[in-house]
Amino acid sequence: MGVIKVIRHRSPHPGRYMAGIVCGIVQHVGILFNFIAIYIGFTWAPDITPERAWTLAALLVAGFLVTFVFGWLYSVNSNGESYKAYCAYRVEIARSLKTAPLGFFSSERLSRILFGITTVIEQVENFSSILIMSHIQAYAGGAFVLVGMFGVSARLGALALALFALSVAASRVLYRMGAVEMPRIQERMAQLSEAVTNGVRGMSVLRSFPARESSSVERIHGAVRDAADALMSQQIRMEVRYALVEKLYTFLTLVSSCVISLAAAWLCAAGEIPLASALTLAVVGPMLFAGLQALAVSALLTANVPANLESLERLARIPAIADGPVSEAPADRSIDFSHVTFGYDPSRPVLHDLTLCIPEGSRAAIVGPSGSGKTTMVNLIARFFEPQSGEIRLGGRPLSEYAVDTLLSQLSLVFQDVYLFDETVMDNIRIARPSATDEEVREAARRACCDEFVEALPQGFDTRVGEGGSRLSGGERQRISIARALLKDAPIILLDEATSSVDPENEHEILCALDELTRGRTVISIAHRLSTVADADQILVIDEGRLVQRGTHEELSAVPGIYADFLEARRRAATWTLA
Amino acid sequence: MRATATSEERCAAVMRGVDALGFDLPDDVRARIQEQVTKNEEEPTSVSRFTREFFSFAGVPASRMLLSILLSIAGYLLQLAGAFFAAYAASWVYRAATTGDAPFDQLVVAAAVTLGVLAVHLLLTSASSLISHKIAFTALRQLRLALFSRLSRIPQGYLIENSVGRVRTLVVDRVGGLEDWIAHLMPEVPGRLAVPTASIVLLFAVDWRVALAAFAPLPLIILGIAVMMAGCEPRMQLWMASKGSLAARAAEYIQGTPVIKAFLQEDASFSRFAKSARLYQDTTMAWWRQSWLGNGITLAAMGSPFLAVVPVAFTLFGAGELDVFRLGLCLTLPLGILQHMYQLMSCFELFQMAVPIWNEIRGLLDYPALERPAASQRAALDPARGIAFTDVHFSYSDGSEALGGVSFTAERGQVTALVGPSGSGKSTIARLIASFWDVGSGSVSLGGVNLRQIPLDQLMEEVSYVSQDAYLFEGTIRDNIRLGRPDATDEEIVRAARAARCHEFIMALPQGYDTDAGEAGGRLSGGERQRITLARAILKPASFVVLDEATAYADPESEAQIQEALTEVVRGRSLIVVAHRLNTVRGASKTVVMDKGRVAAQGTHDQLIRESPLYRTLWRRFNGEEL
Repeated sequence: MGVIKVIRHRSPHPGRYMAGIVCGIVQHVGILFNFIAIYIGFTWAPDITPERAWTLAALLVAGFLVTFVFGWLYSVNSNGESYKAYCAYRVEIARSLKTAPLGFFSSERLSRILFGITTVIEQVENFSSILIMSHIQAYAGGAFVLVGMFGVSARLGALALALFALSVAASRVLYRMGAVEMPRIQERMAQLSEAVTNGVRGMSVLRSFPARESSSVERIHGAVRDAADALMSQQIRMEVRYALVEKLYTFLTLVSSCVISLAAAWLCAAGEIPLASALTLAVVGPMLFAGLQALAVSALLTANVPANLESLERLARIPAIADGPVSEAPADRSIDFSHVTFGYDPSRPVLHDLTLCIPEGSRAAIVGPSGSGKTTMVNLIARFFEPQSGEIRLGGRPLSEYAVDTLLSQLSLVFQDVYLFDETVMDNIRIARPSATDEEVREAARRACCDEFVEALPQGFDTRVGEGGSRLSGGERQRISIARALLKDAPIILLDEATSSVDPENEHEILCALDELTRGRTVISIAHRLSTVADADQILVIDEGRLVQRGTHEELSAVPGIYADFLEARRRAATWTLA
Repeated sequence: MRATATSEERCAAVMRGVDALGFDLPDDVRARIQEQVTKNEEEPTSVSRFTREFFSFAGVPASRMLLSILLSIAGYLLQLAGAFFAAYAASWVYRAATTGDAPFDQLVVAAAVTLGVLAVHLLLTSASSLISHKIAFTALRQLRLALFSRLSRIPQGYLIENSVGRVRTLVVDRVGGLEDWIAHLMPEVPGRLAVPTASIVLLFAVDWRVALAAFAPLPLIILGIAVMMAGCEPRMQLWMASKGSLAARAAEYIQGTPVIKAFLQEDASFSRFAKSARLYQDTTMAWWRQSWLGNGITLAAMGSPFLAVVPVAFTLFGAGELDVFRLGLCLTLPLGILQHMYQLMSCFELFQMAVPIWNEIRGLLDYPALERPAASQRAALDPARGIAFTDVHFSYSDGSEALGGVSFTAERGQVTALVGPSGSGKSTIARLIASFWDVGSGSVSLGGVNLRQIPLDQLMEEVSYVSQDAYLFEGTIRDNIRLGRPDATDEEIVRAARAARCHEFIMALPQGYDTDAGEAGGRLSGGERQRITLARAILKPASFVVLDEATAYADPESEAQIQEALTEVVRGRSLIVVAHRLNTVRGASKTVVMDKGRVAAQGTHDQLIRESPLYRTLWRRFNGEEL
């Protein structure tokens, strides 16, 4: 079965794992002991002396011991190895993330990956052992009883085998049903999830607008109600189908058991099998089908396992970014774009034939309307993605020729989303350069204008910041991010100035920190502030993915165009008042 | 390892046990263990209480569930017919072989009767299953809708304290977490209890000695459980803690990967995650290894129902005290007893998992509603008076104090600015005006009337709360704007859109104002969506605007236009503004300076420059965009 293969593939001791499985199968020999004891009992009957009774008891105790020992061996080896295998699986998925390109990490992907590496793998971990064990119990248990039956009467054995096979086939149908229906339910769940999310956000907005017809409120409630109804009817539909098939399946096993009893009786009456055999075969029918009946119970719980495994497999095989051969830092840090065309969807380019050059140590400010491709441009420099055509070069060499680590060591990224780890402030900053001393970290914090608020925290630099940095405000997280960049001391800064607006309260501090950061380095920034563009060596105006203007502030402010509009808008914003 | 009196002692005992296991534990795992042990001292919930509460919330009549349970019990009992037939067949064979007086027809009739009984079993259990599943899924649906509509009655502040994602998880996933128990297992429990009970009763009816023999494996089962449980608490706590730690590390690793990659720390962070996974594996093995021994004994015992039954039953048969039929019953009935009991045990485990989920759900269901008069009981507001805070104290749900005695008045027709450092309470004040929460003590009044006496609808007519939440609904853009005033004409809508600086880009859309906002919403920038919501606010005839200035800066691309739109929103209305860039509110009639939840000073800009050191510091820190 697929699950077994997956585990064996990842287990550190596959031999031990398979040996465990074999033990799991052998453990069911205990059932055969029961069978034999009953047969011997009927053979000896009615002459059951105490010695004979004790012999039967001994046989059964032996059966118990075999079941116990092999069952324990199965648990230790199989279950043990399977937990190790899932641990290895987690690590494998994590490893595949290490080599993924930066552009892979969109927020929805991240939450899907997180869901996979935690919840999905946990479900598979828990239910795959139930899946395997219930199948072994049903098949191996039944097989041993069949062996006993064949031993007693070949013909009845054959009949029992046929009936058993029929039930096994029916159980496959049951499993397949579960596997088919589950995705449909997941889909309805996803729709409900969306309706609720939209509904919750919508409702909080709607409360501010007591629309007398309240039709929007009705619509929201209606949408959630419809989605909940759709989910409910799908679930009921599935349960009805499934429950009916399950009961029929159970009915089939019960009837099969009776048929065996009937056949045994008939054969005995026809004188074709001895009494003891017939008596035995009459009563062991239920024993044969017990395991199969138990399968029905676990089938629904474990129906998801194969699909979950598939999704995990996909996660473990994320395409890696190709490392280039060059691992020395470039001597010249100029960046140039040469006829770069790129689109997240290759058929809809976001950047068209972009050609420009940013000399080392210069400051370039990128300006343009929203959605014009400014962020994309900057992301491409950090090799988030590969352009469909054209080339981006660092120091004259295409980005793809550099080892990924080498390239990233040249860049500091200061973007809007900052992720902090649930560790101390000191360690969060130090991540930029693990070999830095405490003094160097404090110095970087000082220059990033965050030492004040950090000192004010309960344990100062040793305060833990909570997952994602939840104990700090947006502006504080931003300044930590700048401190990191200062500590890293990379020669090229990629900056999105929108970061300063994150916390208008502390904008002043953030801007101070940014000034410190950008001094004396090659800076490429998506600019919003007038002082940035005024000081820039070069302003690149991007509109709809094309470079439409290029020059200095003096040159461009003199002519009408997007840049002039931008200046006007900034001026208006700067002088805005409410009172 | 039973606990002694105080939870501290218990904690210490657990930690000793954990240390004895010899693991090298990171700090967060130790901290988790301590947290878990102390949390365990909560009141346990019983099956019946949980069931009753759940079904009363879901509004399901108990009688239908009862019907399903009765059908299930009856159905499962009939399953025993199979055992009876096997025993009957054996006795028939015996009669045929020994006396020769056994017409085959008898057997066939018995088979037919059994088949019939089994068919009835099929019918009853199917019916029971259908009813119980329908009830369960209906109940889950009701619960979801109840949760969702609860949201509209509780203070809006709930959503500030609990993210939208968390609410969604509660309504969709948590309720789904109850499903296994409610839909699949609970309805089956009575039936699965009935079969072993009936089997045991029947065995006693057959022969009390055989019945007792059926319990022979019981001591072994108990032994197995005891071995499993012996000193298991430290292992279990350690396992749970390492599991929680792994989840947190995974979250960190995944979400932090972009940062990690940018700083080339992949190896360090990866090895931290791998270590955590390894610890989880090791603690799992440490716990399970011990469990497997005990579990092995228990399972083997459950798989040996005939351990004592076979020798005893055959001996009795040999002694003539049992006939073949009874012997047959002895050899078929014990089979299911122990297995059913084991399945019941795992049901109980799943129930344990459902309880904390239910408690979480109750948290929202029980959340106190916002008490306000009905919409028809309109309050008489004094048009000359503004919004007044009188000694207001307010704390969040987690107990942290946000406001510790705030008093000020925002007059009509004037601009009142709220300024202060982060976390000083400015935004909380704005939200209290919009009735996001009720105040703890003191009062907020509008037009001389306490907010608690003003119906929510009326309050929302008078006060327009403008924030960064730029949410567009399904419906056209026109409908979205019309939300501000449902009886607005198309011209008024266009006028509002022009004022909000969105008319141009709306006209540039394929169907203009009739474009579906949901679709368009994806294509519009944040600033454009914001301006549409501002058009709503312009249309709304409220006399007071409560505004968070940060709204203007949310989208730097459209900053100038949003600001112009905001100017239109506040034109001709009284304004309370939570200000960040002090320059924009320099001319305010009154500025309230907040500090750590209290009013530090209030007055005009000139007054404050003279009198408030805090204001001076804030003003000095502020750096406007100069040209």
